[in-house]
Amino acid sequence: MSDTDITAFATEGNRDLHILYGSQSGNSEGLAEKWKKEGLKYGLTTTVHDMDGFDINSMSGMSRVMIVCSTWGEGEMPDNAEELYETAVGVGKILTNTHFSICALGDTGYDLFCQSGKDWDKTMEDMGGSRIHDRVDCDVDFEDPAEQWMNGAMSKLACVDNDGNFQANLVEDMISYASGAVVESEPETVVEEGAGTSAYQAMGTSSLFFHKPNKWLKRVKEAVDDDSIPTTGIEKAKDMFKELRKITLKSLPQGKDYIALVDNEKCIGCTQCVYFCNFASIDMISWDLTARTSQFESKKALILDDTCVGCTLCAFACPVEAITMESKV
Amino acid sequence: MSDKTRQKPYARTIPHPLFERLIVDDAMNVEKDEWKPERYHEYGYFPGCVDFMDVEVKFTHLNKGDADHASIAAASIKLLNYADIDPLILDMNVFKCSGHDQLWQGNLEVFDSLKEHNMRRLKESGIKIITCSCAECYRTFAVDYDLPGTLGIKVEHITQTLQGRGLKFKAPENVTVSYHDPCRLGRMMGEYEAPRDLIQLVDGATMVELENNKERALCCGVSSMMYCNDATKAVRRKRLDQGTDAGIDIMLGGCPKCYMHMQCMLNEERMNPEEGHHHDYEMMDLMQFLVACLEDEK
Repeated sequence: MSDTDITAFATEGNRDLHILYGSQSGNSEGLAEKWKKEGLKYGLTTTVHDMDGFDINSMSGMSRVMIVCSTWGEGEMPDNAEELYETAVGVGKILTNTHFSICALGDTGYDLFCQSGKDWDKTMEDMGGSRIHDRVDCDVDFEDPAEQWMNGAMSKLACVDNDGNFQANLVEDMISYASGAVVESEPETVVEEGAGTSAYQAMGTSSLFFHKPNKWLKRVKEAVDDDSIPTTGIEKAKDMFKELRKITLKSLPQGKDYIALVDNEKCIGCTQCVYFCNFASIDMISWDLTARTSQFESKKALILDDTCVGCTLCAFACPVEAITMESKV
Repeated sequence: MSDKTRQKPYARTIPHPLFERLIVDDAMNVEKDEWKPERYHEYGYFPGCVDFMDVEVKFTHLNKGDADHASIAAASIKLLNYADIDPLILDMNVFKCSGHDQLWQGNLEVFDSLKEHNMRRLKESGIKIITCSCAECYRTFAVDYDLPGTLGIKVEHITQTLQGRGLKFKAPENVTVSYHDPCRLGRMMGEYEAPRDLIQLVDGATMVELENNKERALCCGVSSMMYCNDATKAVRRKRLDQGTDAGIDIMLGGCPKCYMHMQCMLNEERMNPEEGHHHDYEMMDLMQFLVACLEDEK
């Protein structure tokens, strides 16, 4: 294959790529948005879809689909994916022309690791789709494996031609085409970075949510990664926390008749509830305590009554049990 | 503590209630079974509740996954082995929390229950010396349990155990470090030199003192998990600022709680850069630092 062929292949005809995300805390969504830009390198026009409100029948017209989905609780779908998954299971073989690949996020600390990703993998196959790249199951440190999967899956999906057939012999050319595209687009990204001069970028971290473990911590982990060192009861601690988690979930009253309330005395301003809230109804508010402590600005969570639906997610997330569920009446 | 102070009411608000509840559940679950170690050990190593802390901070994501408490225990065991000590691991499967937090919060019923259990187990274990990687456990065993007086067991902080054993360390890169004195180890037990001696053994690490050090050291803001609010955070930030002033790369601590809370604040600052506070160094436990500087031979 000559260079002109691959360029034409990568730029002409139908080059749509669809990324669906099922997200509870925002990690999957963050990845999907990040990968939207990557698609340009392969000449793909990328559309990111929230699973909530997505029409499953519209998928039959898509030839390239990437799914990134996290797992919630005991192997459950995230809230925004649940409805779509239920319809998908019963929809039948509609994906005759679709190539897909799955990125599953999870936590090995739970029994059903990455279960929702596995469920999607099976369902997409049952629906008649062809798996173009193997699924990846990511643990808490998901960034690197997810990145690898994205590179593999996207280079293959980019080789699906106009008629929906996968041209396996083009993959290598496509990868070199994409790496060439990186060089071309580099000045652009440099300008972008220069324009955004947040302290955050100055720190050299790539995204807000995922601060990578520091190099010293890595060294410590390598040093203690030794089978001869006995474990000191972490399994017991995990079991006890799991049990407590279940009890907490059961004990919280839930539903539209209830509203979350923050106890300012207990709130430590960790912002964990803000990340968990699906309805953007928690704000961090500064209270003027300068008379007491001039060095530290205190921020406490504040629940907005009109948008709180009483889902208990924030109460569940709060590490200090400062959030309680109160009856509206 | 005299009986009069024991009448004080239970502390008003305790952060980390999940963590507390687990410890209390564990304390109230009385085990009558006898336990016997497989063989005789002179030394016993008590990791304390670091595993529980580890799971808790990951569970609540308070440290955004960037703190590894369980590695303090693993590092301590590795260092003890390196110093030719084969300790009996007094972990949470057999022992219970030392009860330090409960004692200081005023939850004496729980403390007594934990103490009774641990004393019985210590008698059964037959060890001569107990060593802890946590400054709070060290103080509790030495003073509140009074182990030297009651059971004749010598209590040591792990820095004291490792001191003077001819250990050699080499830092993977040249670093400037400083040592943050935990209140329980420093002011309460008067141990300032052992951790500093250990840091001197590290080839490539330059030790600098913070502005307030030894008996004048500033507090990390949270002892015995008593309170975490804007006042305690202000104290912590002041301490972290002193680290920046001293130009350090790593701040070392001798207590998992200092590590936990300093690390939490460093992470919080990284997550909220718009607030303009940034400390460009890492917080580590001394044991973690030493194990990272361990040379591969031996």
